[in-house]
Amino acid sequence: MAQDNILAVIDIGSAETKVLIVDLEPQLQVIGAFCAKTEGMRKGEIVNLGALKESVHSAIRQAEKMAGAARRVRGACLAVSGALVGGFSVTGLTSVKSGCVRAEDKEAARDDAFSACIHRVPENRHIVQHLLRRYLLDRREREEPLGLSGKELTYDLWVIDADDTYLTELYQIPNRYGMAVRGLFPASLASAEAIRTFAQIMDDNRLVIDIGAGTSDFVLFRDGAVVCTGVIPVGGEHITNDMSLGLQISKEDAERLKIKYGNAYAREGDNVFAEIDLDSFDGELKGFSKHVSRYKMELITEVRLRELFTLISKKINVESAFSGTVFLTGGTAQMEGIGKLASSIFGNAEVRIGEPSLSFARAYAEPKYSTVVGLAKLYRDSQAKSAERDVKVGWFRRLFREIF
Amino acid sequence: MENFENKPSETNGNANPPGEFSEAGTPAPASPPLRLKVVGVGSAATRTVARLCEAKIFAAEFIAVDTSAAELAALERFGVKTVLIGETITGGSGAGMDAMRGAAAAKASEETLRSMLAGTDLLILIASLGRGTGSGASVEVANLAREIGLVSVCFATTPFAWEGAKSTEQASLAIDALHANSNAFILIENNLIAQAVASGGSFSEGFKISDRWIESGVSSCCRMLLNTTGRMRVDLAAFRNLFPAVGTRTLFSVGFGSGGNAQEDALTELFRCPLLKTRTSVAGTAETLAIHIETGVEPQLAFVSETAQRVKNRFGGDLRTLPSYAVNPALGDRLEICVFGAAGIREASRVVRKKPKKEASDAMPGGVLVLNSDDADGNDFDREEPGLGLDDRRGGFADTRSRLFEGKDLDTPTYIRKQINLDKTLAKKKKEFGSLRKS
Repeated sequence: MAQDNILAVIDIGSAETKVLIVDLEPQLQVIGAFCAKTEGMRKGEIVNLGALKESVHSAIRQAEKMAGAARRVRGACLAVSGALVGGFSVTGLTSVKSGCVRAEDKEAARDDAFSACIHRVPENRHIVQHLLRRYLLDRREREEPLGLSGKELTYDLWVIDADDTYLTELYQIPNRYGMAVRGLFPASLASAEAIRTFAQIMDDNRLVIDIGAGTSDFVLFRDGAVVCTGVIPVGGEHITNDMSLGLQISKEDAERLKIKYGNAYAREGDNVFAEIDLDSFDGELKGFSKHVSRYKMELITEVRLRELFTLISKKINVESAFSGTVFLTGGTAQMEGIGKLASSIFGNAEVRIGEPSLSFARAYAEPKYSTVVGLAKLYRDSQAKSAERDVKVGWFRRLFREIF
Repeated sequence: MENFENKPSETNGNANPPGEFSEAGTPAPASPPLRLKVVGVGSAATRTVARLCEAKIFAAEFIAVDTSAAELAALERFGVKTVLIGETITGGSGAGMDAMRGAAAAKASEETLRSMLAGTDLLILIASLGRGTGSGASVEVANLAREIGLVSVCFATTPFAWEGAKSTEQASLAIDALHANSNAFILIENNLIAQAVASGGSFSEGFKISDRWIESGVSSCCRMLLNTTGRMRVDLAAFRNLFPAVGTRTLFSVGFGSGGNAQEDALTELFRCPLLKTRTSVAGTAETLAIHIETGVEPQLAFVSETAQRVKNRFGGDLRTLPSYAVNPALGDRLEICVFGAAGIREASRVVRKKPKKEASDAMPGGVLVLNSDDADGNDFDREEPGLGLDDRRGGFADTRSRLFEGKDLDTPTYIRKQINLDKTLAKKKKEFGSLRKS
């Protein structure tokens, strides 16, 4: 039985590995899923490959079991994230000879951009994906330059690259399980895809931030096209760590405290006097402090998140001033007050908490599943596109043969 | 953490048991029981050494190493031995914020440094990282010490976050190098000072605290070894066994208490010491442990054993624990507890990689502590990658490699880098809203 239409979609996060087994034909459908703790990965970087492989493999095994033992999956689709992933922009340039842009001109500009981007990528890095940002015709932005008149066509490209060793190690994980990697996408794009609601029009200006455990991935769209992507190596785990340092409590307590009482805003008023009794948690008493100040805890969180959002806003403002809607997703997006904080930093923009809203994965409508759900969608779309291209090529060949 | 304030620095000055004064008075060659050298590299560190020397807390040789002649000349009145390095390279005018120049200066004066380190049992290296001499030359000194086979304890201070990305980067590199080459490595982050300064504390007060951390560390370490009044003492061989390998994680904490509640206060402070939270510190429990308890009056047996037990409960030490206590009448009703330890020894021994050992023992001048070769082969090894063998759940990001993001170490909590004092802010807000509440 050919299993080409069955694919394992894997999102290896710093805290949890999410695996979906999806059936691509006749329509996208989840047939197995599992979510397990990740071992051997910190801040989106692989620190212990053996442990990481083991934990991911066991998650895949569980998901396969759920999908039915007979369906041995051969293909995998992965997300890349972490501090080792970067992005930059390149432009390709061509002069329009006939005065009116034709398909060849578009291709020439694209080829120029690609060759420029190959020179820009250092030896130890690999291109993950390149995305067309826009066409510029005589320095004016054009969505589709075909047929327009001008002298100079610029192809503006955003390139996402990643460290070579990181990719090799990442590929090893499904390979050692007997799977071939069929798709590789940046986590930020996948998350953005997952939370793009049906009603939301394509040409929206939006910033999507996926705050995971170890890293925060972001992507900025303008008029429906990607402007820039990036990764900041700060996530929910950092908040936990800060709390445990600042409040002198154990990491476990800090994690529970964050989930139960976490607030992104240091609220004033009576809250300044509020204290949380750690004894109200089950588990042993650690250290000497039993009561922690609620205000202190919130202040620690606020400065951390404020810094994170400021870093992102600095990064995106290099490309263009931002106005539009901010979408937050990922595990930490569930924290109370995070929307208000983000809004204050991104120029009072509207902030929404995004949950994966795709119909095929209705059971996984939680922010932490954004990346994995989006990955499945991205892979399927890319498949559909390449199938379309195949048809086109076939038609050209036929024409070619008929003429000669 | 304000408890650090409780301990006036003069305590150290008075803390001299009469027996030790005579030792301090005798010149070094008259075979003192232990030859200690306290070496400061970098301008801030040399000043710290000078202050320690002036305080005359214990019998040790104090040496200031710098590339700036002017800086060293200013220190001579404290009675510190000064060593000017790299005259041929810097012309005695400092390394100019460049770690490469600092390292080159130390290399140029290698012979001078070698003879400086000769005849030492324990080297205490104090490095102020971030600028040229501190970041560059200190690494070379640590390398030399390791080559000779000295037991070295290294205290390093890091620059403030606002001192710029280059300083942070230089310091970060130097930390890795020093950590890999010292038996014990204690990091003192200047960014942590804001956490320790009580509200309204001045800038120079912050530096005093940083000094006090080094001071109490160096003096506790030395007093533990030169302990003449206590019954249980730690000798050098035992101390060396605490840190059998270079590059392991070091546990270091001090706690002070006074009055009726001295034990409780000292323990609380010990467990909360900010130095436990640094990058190179032991995050969980240590494998080897030395506990030094110093009291003003003869302690009761139950008191010592209870304190030791509680310290052990928190810090472990299941491989080896060395207790040490001293009675120091100058302390009065005060109590001082100091803990040294190491972790990662077991992990480190798994990746034993034999190094082509330099045959240094012949060339060594007499009196140097010579590690016998079996000992050295079994114990002197590199750790493969910092943190790789360690358990991930140890807590914090202490076990991951730090990666600077636009010149900032994002793993350090933001409030520390931005130097927001949590207690102070809380107190201020409480005051603000407390008055609102009343009205």
